Amino acid sequence: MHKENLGEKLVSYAFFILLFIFVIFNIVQMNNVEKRYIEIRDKLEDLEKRGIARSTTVTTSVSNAPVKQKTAVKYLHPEVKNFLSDETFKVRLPETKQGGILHRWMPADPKSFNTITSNDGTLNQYVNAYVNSESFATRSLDNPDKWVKCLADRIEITDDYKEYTIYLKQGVKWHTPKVDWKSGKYDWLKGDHELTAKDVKFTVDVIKNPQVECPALRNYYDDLDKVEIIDDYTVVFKWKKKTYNSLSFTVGFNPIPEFIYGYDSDGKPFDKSVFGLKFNNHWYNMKSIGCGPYEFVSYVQGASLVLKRFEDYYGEKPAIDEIDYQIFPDQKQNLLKIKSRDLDFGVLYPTDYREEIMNGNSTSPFKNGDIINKTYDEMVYTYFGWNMEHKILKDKKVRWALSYALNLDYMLKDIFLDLGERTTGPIYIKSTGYDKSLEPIPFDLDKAAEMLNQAGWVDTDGDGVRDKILDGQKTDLEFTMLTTSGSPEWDAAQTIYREDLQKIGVKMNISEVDWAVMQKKLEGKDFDAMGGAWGTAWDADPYQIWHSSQASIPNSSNHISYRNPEADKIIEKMRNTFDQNERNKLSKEFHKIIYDDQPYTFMFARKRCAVWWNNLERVHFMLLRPHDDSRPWYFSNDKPVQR
Amino acid sequence: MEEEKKYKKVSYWSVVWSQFKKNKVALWGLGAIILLLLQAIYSPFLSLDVPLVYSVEGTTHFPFLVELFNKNRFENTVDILFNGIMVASPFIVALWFVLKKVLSFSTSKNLVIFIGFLILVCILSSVASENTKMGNKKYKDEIAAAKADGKKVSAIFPLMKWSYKETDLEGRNPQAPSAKHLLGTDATGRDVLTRMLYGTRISMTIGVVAVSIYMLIGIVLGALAGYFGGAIDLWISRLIEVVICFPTFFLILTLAAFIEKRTVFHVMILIGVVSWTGVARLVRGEFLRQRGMDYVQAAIALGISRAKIIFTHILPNAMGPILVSATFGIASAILTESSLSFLGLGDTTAPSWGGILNVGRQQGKLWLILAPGFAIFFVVSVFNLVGEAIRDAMDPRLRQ
Amino acid sequence: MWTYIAKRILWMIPTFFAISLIIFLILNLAPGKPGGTLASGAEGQEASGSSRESYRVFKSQFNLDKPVLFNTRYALSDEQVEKCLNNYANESGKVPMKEVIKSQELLEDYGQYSIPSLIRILKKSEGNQKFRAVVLETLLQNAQRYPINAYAEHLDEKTKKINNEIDIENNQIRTFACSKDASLKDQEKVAQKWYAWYGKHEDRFKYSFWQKVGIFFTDTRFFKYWASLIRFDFGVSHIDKKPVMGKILSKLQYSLCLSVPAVIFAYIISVPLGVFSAVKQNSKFDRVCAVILFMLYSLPSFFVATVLLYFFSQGGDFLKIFPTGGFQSPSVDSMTTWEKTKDIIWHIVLPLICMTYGSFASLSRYARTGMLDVIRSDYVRTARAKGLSEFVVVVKHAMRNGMIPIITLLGTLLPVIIGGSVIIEYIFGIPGMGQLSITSIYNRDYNMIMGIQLISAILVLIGILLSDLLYALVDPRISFK
Repeated sequence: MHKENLGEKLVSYAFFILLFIFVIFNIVQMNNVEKRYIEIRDKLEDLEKRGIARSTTVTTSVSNAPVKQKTAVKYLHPEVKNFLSDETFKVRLPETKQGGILHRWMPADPKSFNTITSNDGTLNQYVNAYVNSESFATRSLDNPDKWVKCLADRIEITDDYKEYTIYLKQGVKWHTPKVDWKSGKYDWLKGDHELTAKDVKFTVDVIKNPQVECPALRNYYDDLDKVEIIDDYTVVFKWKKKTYNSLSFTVGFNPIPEFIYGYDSDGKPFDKSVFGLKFNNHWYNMKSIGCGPYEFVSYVQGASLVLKRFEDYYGEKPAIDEIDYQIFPDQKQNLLKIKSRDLDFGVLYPTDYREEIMNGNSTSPFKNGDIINKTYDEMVYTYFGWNMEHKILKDKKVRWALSYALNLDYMLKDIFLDLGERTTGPIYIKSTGYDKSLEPIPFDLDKAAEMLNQAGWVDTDGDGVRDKILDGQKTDLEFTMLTTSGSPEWDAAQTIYREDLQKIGVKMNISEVDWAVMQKKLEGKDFDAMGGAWGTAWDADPYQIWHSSQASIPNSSNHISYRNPEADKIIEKMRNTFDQNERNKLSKEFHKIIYDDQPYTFMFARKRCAVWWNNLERVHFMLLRPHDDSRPWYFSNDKPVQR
Repeated sequence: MEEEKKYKKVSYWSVVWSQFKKNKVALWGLGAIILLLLQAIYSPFLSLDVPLVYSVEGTTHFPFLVELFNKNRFENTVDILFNGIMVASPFIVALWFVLKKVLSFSTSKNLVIFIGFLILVCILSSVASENTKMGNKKYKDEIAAAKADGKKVSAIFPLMKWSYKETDLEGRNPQAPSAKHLLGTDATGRDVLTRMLYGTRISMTIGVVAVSIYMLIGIVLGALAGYFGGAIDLWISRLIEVVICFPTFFLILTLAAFIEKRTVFHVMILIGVVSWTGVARLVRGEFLRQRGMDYVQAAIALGISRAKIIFTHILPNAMGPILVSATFGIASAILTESSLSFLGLGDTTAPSWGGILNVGRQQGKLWLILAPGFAIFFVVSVFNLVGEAIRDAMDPRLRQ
Repeated sequence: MWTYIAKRILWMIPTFFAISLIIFLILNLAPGKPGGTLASGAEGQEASGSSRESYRVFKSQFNLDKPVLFNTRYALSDEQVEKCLNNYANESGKVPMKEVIKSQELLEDYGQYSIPSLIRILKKSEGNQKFRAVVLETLLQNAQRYPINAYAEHLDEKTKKINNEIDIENNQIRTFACSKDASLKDQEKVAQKWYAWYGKHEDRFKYSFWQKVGIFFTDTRFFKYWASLIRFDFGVSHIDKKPVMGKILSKLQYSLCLSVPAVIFAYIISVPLGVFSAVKQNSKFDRVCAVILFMLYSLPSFFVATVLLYFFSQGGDFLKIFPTGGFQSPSVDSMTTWEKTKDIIWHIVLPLICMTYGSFASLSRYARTGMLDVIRSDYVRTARAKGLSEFVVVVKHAMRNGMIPIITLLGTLLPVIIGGSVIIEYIFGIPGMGQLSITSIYNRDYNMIMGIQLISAILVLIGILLSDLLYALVDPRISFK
């Protein structure tokens, strides 16, 4: 080998080494610069949070909404008592420490953040509750039978519950829209925007627009005659009929901001003829805006959603600065991320609950006090429903026998791991309308067999399945249970039920389908029996699920075609009864009728197990949805966070 | 006659076989496939909750045979068919022997009769299952109860006393492996080993049936295109080009999700319908090559019918590559099915390996992950191994 | 060469049309319907007329109210409409609910085409209160027209004018509402209004021959879909109404981050491995290699992924090294680029392993056979005979030709690179294309599924062309003729 060659090679090696060093150096330098930049940015954000930066931006920006002086409100009906009372629950206690970021899990992407067109449980629970579920009044967190002030200070109800006068709080600000301010395209949105009666009227117009995709909501306002604006902060709702529903839907009315939703992305108002269609596809639908305690910051599909405390919030501000949601569908990952402290708070599924809390070893963070757990009630009950038009199941005796054959106590203990409570009717178990005197049906196969014998079901041909002559035809006591697939607990429960039924000569087939198919079958009433769950409300109207008029309408919620004139009467009466004690009485009567008829075999009022790392304090579970409302929570600084 | 027989003995297939035999690993693989098939067929003897024989107070019952065709006990048609084959297996062996040794039929004729007999067995067993009206009797409970009453009871069970859907409620599920459950139980309390054993049936059927479906489509279309050429070839080639562009796995996923009541057979048909293009191209190419050869021209000149030329003259000669791709196809079909089940889009009632693995992933239990995982791995690699060995055996360049 | 490419690309168009037709038919004829929650309401609500309207708006936006391939509704007969009305009215109460719903949907879908029949039936049905109420209800909903081009970004003045007219007319029609239990007399009053209205607009419902031909072919789901497809518009997702293309593009970065390194690593590992085992054919190394690669090739990736997560993830039980899934840490906002890169790498190590091992097993087998074919050829022997070092022979002479098949494979990998892996993304919770595919399947998001399928079909087409071109490029023996 020649020497020059070697030299050349050396030079080129040296060159590459130098280049390499240079690149490394650059990376390190860039990294430092960026770190500084991020520090400065965070500091600026911090300042903004304290309102220093904010006030400067407000003065520079052109405010197109003239600042209104607080005016003394003249009451239209001063003689009427204010319907609202003050909230007794305190979001912040004296010892509450401000600050911190709460990391939580969100199981699915919201389809849209538009509260009118999207009726999405995930969205309601995780985002809307903090951003834009502020309504005129809410049910008190301490006593849900009472309504307390929220956006409204005073509500006057006159004229037999047909006319509601609402006095809005003054100075309630909408969040600043999250748009690209620098581009200049959104200058028309600048300035502070206040909640006024105009927003309320706008929201009602949106809901009543037939083109807007909000079937559920519009239904509730079908009987709303008109909304009158008295002044900027006073608005009157006039209803055609006196119904109990109108109370909760007026008092719990949740306005949306007109300054965003009334305009296209260039700031022009929508053409009236296509307004509804444009609203369905509104440009702001993938962001959220409201006037709640947290404001929307950013959302990355399938990855994250960030909420930040709204410093101009009119009410008691929560302690935690920021809520970061991580979005992923897999519940297994949820558990893993809780353990690795990527999440501060989470909910355990029964499988994980058993593994980690019931069977976990003492070194696991769930056992050594690092992660705290607690079960809370959900407003959900599970049931097996019987199609009341099915030739076998329409017999009440058969339904009772089937209820006796369901070994719920075992299931609750060993399958659902006590994450539930036996329930006997469609009323929320913690509500005052629930009749506690009704006993849960015990597991008793002998009794079930005897009842089937009484109903005329006997095994005459020795094939192990009872039969009976129905309409001149010998029919086996056989039906198919329709359920959705995917839950190991349901699978196990059904399998056990099937085996138990087999012992008394009843043949139950199981058909597991996915949710879309299940829904189609339920709507078409194309099933014998079904397993499912209903979410209830504090003071739910049983009309949609139990009234006979809903039994023969397509696509109704009375899937099982339940018809009982007595129940109908109570349901109708409840719709016109406003006195809480009277309502409770009616509710208990209704409960008793359903219990006697056993159109469903009621299983459990579901519970959830929540877990959180121990530096999170005052984790409190609400009686109402969302149960895991994080507003009262705060981080103690005693235990440093290690990620 | 004598001359012909001697000639036959050194046929192409016997050459391939002798090459194949040299590959010891592949022979093991072939043995493993046969063992798996036997295991699939005789699963009820390995594990079932029905006693072969039991006697109470002197009266003896033989419930086993009848229960094999009880639709309440075996919900999957696949199981009923396998049970039918199991019951008929002595006869099948006898038939083979008679045909081969006594009547000395040719192998191909033998094969046709053999397959015909299998189909007959399948039809008979499904008819039998439709007509048996039996509850899901709990023999174990009955025997235990009789024992508790102080009666004289004796019973002979299969090796394990579990059925693949029976739930064991003693103890909290999933139970870790123990003497009672060799591979533990799943979340519902079903014996994992038993489910694995019956899962072999599902996997094997998926592999064989799905591949048969697409072989059939592929061979017919490929043969038509390759033999006739011209416009037919053009259209079939276009069709192949179109179907090749389908994102196969995604399409299967979509269709599987749209089927309301998925059974194993749906999955087979889905796999079969979307993956025939490879075979069709192969057969088409082979036919294009063979068509120009002298023996085909001679056959045409002799006035032999087209169908006969296609199926008895050309096809056997093109069979080699088809066989190889079928073997690989079985492996990939099994893999596809287990992926589907893993994603929860398979037959949820059948004890599929992919489904068990998915439960294992959700529950984070090692025995629920490793057992089905290795089973899939084993079967897939065995089929790949054999496929490779056949390909090598047929490759003249690799012949020593 | 350019003519060859042009010819191939031209061929793609009919192929693509056929693909889209087949996938479209499969999706549209499959059971299960989109927008199910709109038709019924998620947590149950009273079913009534006004809630239906939203579902109809939804259907019209996605053309779900139109027939799939051909439209013959201009020739709708009174009998057809009457049968549906009878089923829907369900006076006997004996019609199964499935039929009732089907008839209801059909009546809605007939829309404007059913007006003449409905008017005639209305005339005929005097005196039958219950039936007439249903006819009036149907008329009320079907007579209202949808604004045209409502989803366009900007409307010109002319369309705006037409839309305003439609809006005014709709408002007028809405005043014809008649409650379900109205008396016969009230019904008759409303009916008279309808007759007057129909008399005024009768021309609208008479179609000329060419109009009929137009309706037959163009007022269909498939045509509407293709009309927008021509403009590379895959429509909007049924779920969140965002453009399909945009959603796919936004997911692309995640899949690319995973699949591009996977392919690169697979090539980096497999080529030397394949070459080495070919050069040392039948050596111990070759055999061991073959066995290991073979085993890797047969290992299902979902199994490996599950096992890796079990043993190596933080939430697992053994070595808590890697994160449990996802693509980035939640605190990604306060990271520098370098930290972000590290964070992403840390997250994708496990999925990367799963995606790489299977493909390098098959790739190195390709590389090995490719090399084996070449290494025995004459020119390699000549090169050796010239006294060149073994290294030069292998790398400079043999590899160039031996790697041709494996390079052309790159083209066919294109759909994999962009489409991502459904199972791996599902297990590791990576929000890429694969996860998008599977969630859109679960959600019955037809436009999304359609879009993904078509895009992967296009990628396959391009991939095949690309690999043919690559083949010709690296192998001078192949020409474009």
